Amino acid sequence: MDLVINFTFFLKQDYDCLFSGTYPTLHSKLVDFQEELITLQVIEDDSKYWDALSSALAVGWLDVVVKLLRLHGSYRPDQIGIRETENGLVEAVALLITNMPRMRLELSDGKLGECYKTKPDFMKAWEKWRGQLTKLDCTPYWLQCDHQQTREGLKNMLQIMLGNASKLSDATCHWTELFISHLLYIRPFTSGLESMFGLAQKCVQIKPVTSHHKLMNLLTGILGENTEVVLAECSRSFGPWMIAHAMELLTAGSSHAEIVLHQEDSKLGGICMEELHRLAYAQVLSSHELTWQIAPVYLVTCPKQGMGMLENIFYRQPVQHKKVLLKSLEICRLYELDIIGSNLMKFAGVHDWKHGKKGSAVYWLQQAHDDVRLNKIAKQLFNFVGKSVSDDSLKQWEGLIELLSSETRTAGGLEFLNRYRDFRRHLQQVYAGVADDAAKQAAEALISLMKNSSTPKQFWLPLLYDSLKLLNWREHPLFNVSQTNLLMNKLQELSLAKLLPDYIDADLPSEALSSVRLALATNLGRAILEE
Amino acid sequence: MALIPLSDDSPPLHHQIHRFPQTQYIDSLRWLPQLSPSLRHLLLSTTTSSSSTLHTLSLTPTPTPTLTPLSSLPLPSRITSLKTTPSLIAASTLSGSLFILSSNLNSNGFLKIEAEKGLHFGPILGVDLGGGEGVECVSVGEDGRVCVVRVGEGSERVFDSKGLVSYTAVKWASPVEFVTGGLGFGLQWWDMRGPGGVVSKFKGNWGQKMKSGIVHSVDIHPSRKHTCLAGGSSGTIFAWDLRWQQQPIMLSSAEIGDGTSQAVSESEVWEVQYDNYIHSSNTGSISSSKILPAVMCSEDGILAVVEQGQEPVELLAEPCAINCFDIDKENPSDIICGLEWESLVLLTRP
Repeated sequence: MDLVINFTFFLKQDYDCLFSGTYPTLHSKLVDFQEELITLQVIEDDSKYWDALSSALAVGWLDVVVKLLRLHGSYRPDQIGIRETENGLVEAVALLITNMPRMRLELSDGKLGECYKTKPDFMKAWEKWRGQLTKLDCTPYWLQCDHQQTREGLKNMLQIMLGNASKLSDATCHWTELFISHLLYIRPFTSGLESMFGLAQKCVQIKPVTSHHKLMNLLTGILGENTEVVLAECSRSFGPWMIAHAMELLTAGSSHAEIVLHQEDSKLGGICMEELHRLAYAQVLSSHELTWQIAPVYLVTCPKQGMGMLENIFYRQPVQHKKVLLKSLEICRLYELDIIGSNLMKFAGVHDWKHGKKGSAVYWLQQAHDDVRLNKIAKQLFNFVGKSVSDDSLKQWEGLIELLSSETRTAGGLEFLNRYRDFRRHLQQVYAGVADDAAKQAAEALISLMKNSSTPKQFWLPLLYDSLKLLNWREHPLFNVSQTNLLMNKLQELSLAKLLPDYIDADLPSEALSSVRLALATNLGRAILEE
Repeated sequence: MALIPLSDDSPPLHHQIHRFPQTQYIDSLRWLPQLSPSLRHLLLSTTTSSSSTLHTLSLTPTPTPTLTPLSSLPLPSRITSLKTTPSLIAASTLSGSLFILSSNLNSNGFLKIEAEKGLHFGPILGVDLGGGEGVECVSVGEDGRVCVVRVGEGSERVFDSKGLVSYTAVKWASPVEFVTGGLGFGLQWWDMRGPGGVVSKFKGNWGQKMKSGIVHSVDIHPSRKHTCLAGGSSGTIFAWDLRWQQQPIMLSSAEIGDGTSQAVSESEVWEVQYDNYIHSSNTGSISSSKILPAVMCSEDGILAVVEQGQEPVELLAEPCAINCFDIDKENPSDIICGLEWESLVLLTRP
């Protein structure tokens, strides 16, 4: 019953704008009459008034009917005395319309009818109401009603309410209107879609349409409970949005449709119809750079291929535009797609590295926790540093080193840069003539650098060469015996490494190695003496 | 995400919201200098899949706000940052060019490019007008370049970090100083006197739990030059007081759940601006150590006023990202913002 009322409501609210200009409809008829209404002197003399009344009544626009009825001339104060019986009949019909039983929980304001919550109550009330209609139809007062149009018009309205099929047909224009009038007055107890399709076909026969409106075709499919027809109509006449969303409506309350739509089909690549159409709509959305962000909403509900397609969409987005990247990452965060998110960050990192944006590359690879790539680029970074060890150039690295230390867990061998920077700072102070303390700290920094396995080999000799002043510290040896031994071992290891193919020669004067050797030997001697 | 969900049909709000659907994606927007109380001008940069355009629009506030397009200027690439002063407009693009335009529109609202500079390689991410006599334009980019151009004379200074650092936001603090923001929530204070360059760096003491992020926007209040406000990833809004070197003052963060700061958003904070509206009359009475209230917008659709030690006040909570906003300097009750789903919102506070 709800369906009928919703359908009536649809007719009244929406369909006129859908069909306007295409078909003559009851709505347009009423609108035309409304315009004429102002010019009419004696409204009840005009046959159009009675036409409008019976039409509105046929599709259940009760409030309109009652309002129109109350415009009847017999209500006028100067007439009421002479036309008492006539007015009584008009009011009786208006009252019966107002009290028409309706099976629903409640009606919105301004809507007429008596509500019944259960079917038995409704059926009882319906029979009683029909009884009242019949009684009024047979009342002798009609004979006393002198106004012919009123008499005939009201009788006609009673026939409509009593479900006289030919009267209903006369009062309606389009088959959907006739269909509704049948549901309202001939089959008031219809529930669900039972036999609605047959009725619809009958109505189309009575009121044939010359051109087929796409919405009507869809409606026929829905009434026929034919999921395939509905889908075919949706995809033929409406866009992918319609078909993606029609799924939700079709599966609600229909187990047959649910089976059809949720059954995985090998012809569809092992996915179900529902998923197929969601994927199709997501594909449409993702094809435009300004709508792709809506696609994930659909894709996350696709269990089989949604994630794969989503991944593809993300990977197609330009990584060079960081705002777009951040928007992608936000979607990954919302849908907990951590792996895709970190892949996107890796792409951005590699892209930036290739384009010389070293800082940005390190940032994105750090965010992705991509230690492998960080270690790889670390080697290249060190080569870059190694060639330009001057303090001036190190200043340029400050920003990158700051960035590295901003992350609590510095991935890869990049933390070397941090230690290296500290060492250079201390050394700078030593050269600037700052006292003993700085020298001690510089020496400690050197040992910690040499002990650490992340310090690249190509830095060993330059580090030692830069530290000559420390090794030859005048006041007292800065390195004890075991520390000196460590440094000497490293130098030995370096001599062996020189034989390996991937050894990169530091850009140092030729005497560097021998002077470091000499300084280490001298320091060892002094340290032994000291101990 | 949203602390107090609001929508147009929720109980009446104190502020009025007007929506203007656009046919193009909004990259950025600004108020232009006011010509008369009854007629205001807006600058809007939009993009479609094939072209980018800078538009001027007029806004008639009464009886119902109406937007009328005045003129449009095609640009070679998407706008990444847009700033205005009473006399100039600076617009930076994704392809690395910087446009300087006059903000004194003639009656037709036509825009005229005064200068075009190509000092960057790759996206410029931040631009600001100010500096000496207010005619210096500073731009920063992913390439790590910081360029200061003196408009009119055409003289320029370029600081090149050779890609070792990327900068994402910039704001003038005084005629000779500006602050930049970048990766790892880093902020840098620059001084143009002498050799020029970074004189102070902020490297936050964020603690172990805090995830690193990017600063998207910085602002400095003219009356509090020592404090820099920054908004960025993970709903983070913090202030850096130069006098308290390494300790950030957190206004919002989704990462630190220590209860000292509210998270107004969990996502990227795209823009922050000090709010002149509420405290326009009593700015002076707020203790100088307290951060002034600010407005922020975020990827998760929040436009809110944040204030130190107080619950954020949401002005808008949208189902899509709010990518940009601007508070009218001459009439701070009015805010315009650009939404992800191609619409412009005018918000008028009582």
